[in-house]
Amino acid sequence: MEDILLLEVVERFCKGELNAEDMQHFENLRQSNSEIDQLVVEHIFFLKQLDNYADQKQLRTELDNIHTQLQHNKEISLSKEAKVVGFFGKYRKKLAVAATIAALFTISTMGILFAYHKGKNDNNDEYKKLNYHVQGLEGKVNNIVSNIAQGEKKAATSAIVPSVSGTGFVINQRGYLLTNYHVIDGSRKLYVFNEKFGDLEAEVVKTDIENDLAVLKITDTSFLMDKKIPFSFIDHDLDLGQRIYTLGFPRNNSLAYIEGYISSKAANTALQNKEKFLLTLQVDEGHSGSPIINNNGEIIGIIAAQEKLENGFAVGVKPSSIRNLINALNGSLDKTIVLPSKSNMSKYSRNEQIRKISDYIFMVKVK
Amino acid sequence: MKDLQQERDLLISFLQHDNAATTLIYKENFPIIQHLVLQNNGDNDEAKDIFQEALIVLFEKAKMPDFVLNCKISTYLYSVARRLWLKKLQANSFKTGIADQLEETVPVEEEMELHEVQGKQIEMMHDALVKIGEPCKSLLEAYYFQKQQMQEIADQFGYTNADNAKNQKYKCLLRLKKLFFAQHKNL
Repeated sequence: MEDILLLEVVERFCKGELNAEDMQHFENLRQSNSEIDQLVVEHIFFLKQLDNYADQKQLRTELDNIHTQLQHNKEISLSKEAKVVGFFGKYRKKLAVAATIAALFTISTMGILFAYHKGKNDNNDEYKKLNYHVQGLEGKVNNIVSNIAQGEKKAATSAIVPSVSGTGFVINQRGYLLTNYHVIDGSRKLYVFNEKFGDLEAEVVKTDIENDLAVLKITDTSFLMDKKIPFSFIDHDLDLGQRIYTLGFPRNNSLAYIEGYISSKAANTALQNKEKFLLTLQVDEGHSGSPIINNNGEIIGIIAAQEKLENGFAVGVKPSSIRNLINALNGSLDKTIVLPSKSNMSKYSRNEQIRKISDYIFMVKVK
Repeated sequence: MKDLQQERDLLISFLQHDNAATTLIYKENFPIIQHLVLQNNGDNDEAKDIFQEALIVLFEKAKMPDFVLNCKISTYLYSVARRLWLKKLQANSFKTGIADQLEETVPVEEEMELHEVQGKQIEMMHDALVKIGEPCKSLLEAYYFQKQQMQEIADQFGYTNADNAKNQKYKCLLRLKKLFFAQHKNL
């Protein structure tokens, strides 16, 4: 019982709950009695440990809750694959710099200067670009070296192994394609590929860096598109929750289908760019430049990027920016490009739509 | 250094158990640590454990009155997590080191030592609390962790008045202290 009384006094002393008179009395007791003094020191230590324990326990519970919540909101992902992709997005700049340095080192011994590489358009911290790096650092360096050895001439008919790839789609029968600027940024040689047409040489004819758009023209003389483009572009106001799908070339040479919906009319408030909107769509690297297609088979935009650190979100660019770019390009063309504005795709099922659209989607390969 | 000031403000909110601040730190840093672990022989569960452990290290260290944050929170967490994971890998006698070193790191020796000492104390407190059994454990938790008033505790646990509850609390506390310090003596 005495122990308990003593403990109570010690605890109240430690917590500063004693009145001035008792406080003084207890201080004197501490001075004269080393055991009491020891008890106080010990109890302060003990209370601190108890406090730490409680604090840490609370934190652990909070962290677990946050983890569950973020996972539930898909703001963090537990898929291994997705994270590897995230890595390349995040470190792309660093890897590109490393690749450039490595390339310079190799090539300088041959007396050839080759330095210009990506990096210009990488300062946008909010988004992760979705062009797909087929190989890592080594691959890039090897490509550069082998290109130099072969005088940069490779037959377009063979399977081209690109260093970076994305997606593009036909906007005019004469061979004009739309893709993202970041896909072709810094490119020296461009090819487009799909199952129907194989590998075709192409070149960049117009870019809009701000909205991450680029128009390509297929230069290959063998290219002939005899069928009319089946889809159209629409500029309607976007509806939240509107279902969309896309076709693109992530990772390999086969076309992939994914579906999602419009989740926000503004991609990011910090950007204040009304030309961009947000999609809930499980995009992957290589989806950059894919068309965003609604249920009626109409194109309502182009995929530009993946929301940084958040898998399952993509950023789309509206057709109005595409129109502006085409208008700017038309000024320099003898024969103007008219974006297809009529389609009869709505009467087809999704599967039929995809079959009809597939031939107009190309993988954009950058060397 | 306006950015650093923002990081410090964020850290203060984190120390105060501000859920928004903790969520922000979690969301921004988990993928980085997850990548580190996944790329180095770990799985998602281990990534979660290592990341949360790193947050606890930051929490413990930042509570120290003399602590000053001199780098980004993410740099700090990465440095700590990297060390924690390296330690885990070594404990599992993996010979591999950590492959990627693209992130910046800061020295975290002191943190590692502090964390080890703190970890032992926490473990001993946990064991002591398990050993005292109920209702002592719940009673002490109600008073010391949830900071409930003695009258509330009396009502909740069925004591006739706050004084009896308080008396019981001291009995429990005395036992807990003995169990806790007994473990120190066993060291």
